[in-house]
Amino acid sequence: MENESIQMIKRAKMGDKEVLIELIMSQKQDYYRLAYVFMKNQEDALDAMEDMILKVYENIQRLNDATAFYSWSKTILVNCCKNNLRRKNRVILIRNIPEGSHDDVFKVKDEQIDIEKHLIKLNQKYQEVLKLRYYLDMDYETMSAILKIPLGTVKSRIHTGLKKLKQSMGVSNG
Amino acid sequence: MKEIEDILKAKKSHLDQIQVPEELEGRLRGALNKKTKLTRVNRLKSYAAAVVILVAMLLSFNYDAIAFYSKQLLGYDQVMNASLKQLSDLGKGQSIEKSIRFDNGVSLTVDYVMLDENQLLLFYTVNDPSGHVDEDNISPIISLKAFWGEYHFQNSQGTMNEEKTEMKYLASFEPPMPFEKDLTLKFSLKQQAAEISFTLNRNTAMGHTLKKTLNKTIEVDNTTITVDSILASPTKTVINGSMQTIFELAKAQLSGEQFRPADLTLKLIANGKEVQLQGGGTSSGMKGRTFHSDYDPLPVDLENLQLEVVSFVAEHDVNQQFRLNKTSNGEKQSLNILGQVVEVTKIETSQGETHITISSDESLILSRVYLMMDGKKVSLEQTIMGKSDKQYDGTIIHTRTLRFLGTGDELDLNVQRMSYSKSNHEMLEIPID
Repeated sequence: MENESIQMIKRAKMGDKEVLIELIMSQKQDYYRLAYVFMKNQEDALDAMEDMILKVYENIQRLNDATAFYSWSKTILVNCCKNNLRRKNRVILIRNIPEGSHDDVFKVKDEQIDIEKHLIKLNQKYQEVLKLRYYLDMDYETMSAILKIPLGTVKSRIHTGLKKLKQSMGVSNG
Repeated sequence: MKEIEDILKAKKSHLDQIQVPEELEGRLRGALNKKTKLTRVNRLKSYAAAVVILVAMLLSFNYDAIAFYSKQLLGYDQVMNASLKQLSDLGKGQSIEKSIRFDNGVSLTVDYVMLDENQLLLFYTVNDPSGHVDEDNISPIISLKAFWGEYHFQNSQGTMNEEKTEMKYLASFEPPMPFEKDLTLKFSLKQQAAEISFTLNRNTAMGHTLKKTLNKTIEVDNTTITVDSILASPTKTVINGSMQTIFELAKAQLSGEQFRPADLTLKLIANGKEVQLQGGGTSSGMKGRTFHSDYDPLPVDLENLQLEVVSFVAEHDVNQQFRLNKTSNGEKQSLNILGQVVEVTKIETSQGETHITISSDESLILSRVYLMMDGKKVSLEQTIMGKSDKQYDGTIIHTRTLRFLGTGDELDLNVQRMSYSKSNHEMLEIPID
């Protein structure tokens, strides 16, 4: 990591909020897409990022290795996303029936999100590795650092995840 | 395997087009500034408060538990409403306490039964010492077999304890015929069938408090709604009625179904106070389209009873196209769809998408809508929920944005179906003597 970033992280550790925002904004694309892959819409992705920056601000003193800032804060973001998803599952808003909620509109949507439909059937641990790998193009090391799981586990989860996805979609071997 | 990877990669290219919203930086700053004002002292204070509340909760929870223990209804307070709690406190109902254990240690216990003319309520517990009660495949849909037939399950609700070792269910069934005494509960765990038999003690049954045939009709939105009957019992109150006779239903079907009743809101008012709605439903069958609305039990000191038809929601075929004025700057365009007003407040195009903001009465939903972009039909991608504004006259205007992929010079909103509610506020007096 460049010297400048490390200096900035040190200043953020002293409690400089603006520097912290700057640090995150410098990789805003990465953070936002990571949140979006989990949350699937803008509003929830932004909410998760708000939660993340607070947690980062409150705990940055505990970060000993400044070079690990990005993977550390992304781990926090992933955890915020998972927490919010868990909370969201509990709330059912009956009022918000979307326009075009008739069955056949659902069907049209179904075809568009075919892969999503099968993906969400997988266990969360397979979903997240597949999304990070294929939607965000992350390498194994980064995934291992962000998800806090060993490298071998990342690889085996991707492999098993793909296999399960294949079974679920009934695609022939190819 | 390759194919799956390709599909996933195709999906990625869609994701790559997602832009980071400009508001991100502002939101982050706002979050930091708003929440970090909690100083350390304040935080200590809030911890202390939390501990006090927790202790208070533990104490009061245990207190409740002791109170219920004597009646074998421990743990059901989450699934019972206030009037059921009252009945169980009065000792109404019958204690059963019979259970069956499967080979894997999972057991099901029938604790208690309450019976009146509207329903049979079955209180039962599923226990799994291994802590996976949420994954056990005991279907919550169970059946009750008797000598003369089977009584159908209507609905149930359950609560699970924190350790996931126990699930308490309260299930409602059709009431068994008056001469039925021996009942058998049938259920299964992973294809392994099991049953528990018990004998109903009819002396504990609670009968009804009010039973009347009404046969009153009300006209709403060119439809006749008939309120057939009311049956009130100690555990609930049920209003039965019909919306379309079988003849009307057949006629509508033949003419291509112009109109589908979807929902009816009735308000039951006892002694001037609204009775809490529990649920309801509509169904189509040999008797035409019928409905029932379920409410809490009526008060004991009932003096007068009224039924108010509040609103009636139906889905209508529209099949009309409306040209949208894209150029009008900030000017609202008002569409008249089957006499209902839908205002187009904003049309925006950005990043290859068209966003149309509309506002209407909150009950109105364009249930099948397309956007014609230069003659090309595009289906709705997403509705972005906006805001609801209450007007001076009490009506609520709902504003939301319809998101379509693609853009075009000439835009037409193609509305095929729409549902809306007609308010009525007609009052029916129900005789109680």
